[in-house]
Amino acid sequence: MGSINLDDIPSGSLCVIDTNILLYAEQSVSDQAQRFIRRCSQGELSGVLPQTVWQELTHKLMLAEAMMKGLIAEGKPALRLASKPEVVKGLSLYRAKVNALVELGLGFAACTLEDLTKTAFQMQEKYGFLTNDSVVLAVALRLKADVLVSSDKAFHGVTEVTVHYPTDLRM
Amino acid sequence: MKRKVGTLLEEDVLRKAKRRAVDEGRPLSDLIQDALETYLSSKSSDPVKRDAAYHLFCDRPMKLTTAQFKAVLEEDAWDL
Repeated sequence: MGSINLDDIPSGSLCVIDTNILLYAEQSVSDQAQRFIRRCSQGELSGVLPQTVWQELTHKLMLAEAMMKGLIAEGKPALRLASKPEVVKGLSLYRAKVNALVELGLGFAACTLEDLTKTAFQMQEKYGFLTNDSVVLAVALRLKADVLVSSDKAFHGVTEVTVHYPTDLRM
Repeated sequence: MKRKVGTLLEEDVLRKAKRRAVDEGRPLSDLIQDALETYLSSKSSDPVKRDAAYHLFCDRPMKLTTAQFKAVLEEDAWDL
C-alpha cells in the first residue's frame, strides 16, 4: 500500500494516530496535521490514539511546558524533570492540551495482551520495529484501521495498512 | 469485573458483530466491549466544545525554540 499525505485521507476513515502528528499540529509546523485534527473534531474522520501514544504525548507535552517556562534545561529534560516533582505539580497546560484531545473527539484504545505478545512481536520480527512502533501498528491492525497516520519513516514500508504522513513540515 | 447484561440489538447489527467476532477469533462480548470503549472515549459530541478544544490544542502552541521542539521530538520516554 502507498504512503500519501494527510489531506488525501478519505472521509469516514478510521485513523490510528501517532504521537508526532499531534506534536506537529500543536506546534503549528504542519498545516496538514492541523487540518487532519480539524477533520477529526468535525466528525469527518475517526481518530484513535493507542495507549502508548497517549502516554508518549502526555510525557512530551509535560516536558514542553516545563521547557517553555524555563523550568528545566534542554539536556536530558526528562531526567531533570523527574528530579523536580514540585515543578511537575505546578504544570497544567499539558494536561489541558491532552484533555482537549478527548474533548475534540479523539478516541482511546487500550492495548490488549494479544497486541503486546502476539501482533507486536510479529511486527518486530517482520519489520524490525522497536516496541512502541510495533504496538501502535498492532493496535491499528486489531481495530482494522483504514489509515495509520505518522511521520515516522519506519512505517513507510508497512503493507498491512495504508500509511499517511505530512508532506509540509516547516522545521 | 465483568457483569452479565441483557439488551436489545438490531438483528442485522448483531449478525455483523457475530461474523466479525468469528473472523477475529474472539468472543462477541469482547468485540462489543471494544466498540463501546471506543465510543465512550469520544467524550464530547457538542460541536462548540469540539471547536473550542481544537483551538486550545492547535491555535495556542507552547512557545518553544526549534532546538527545544527537536529535543521534545527526540525525547525517549523510556530513556531515564
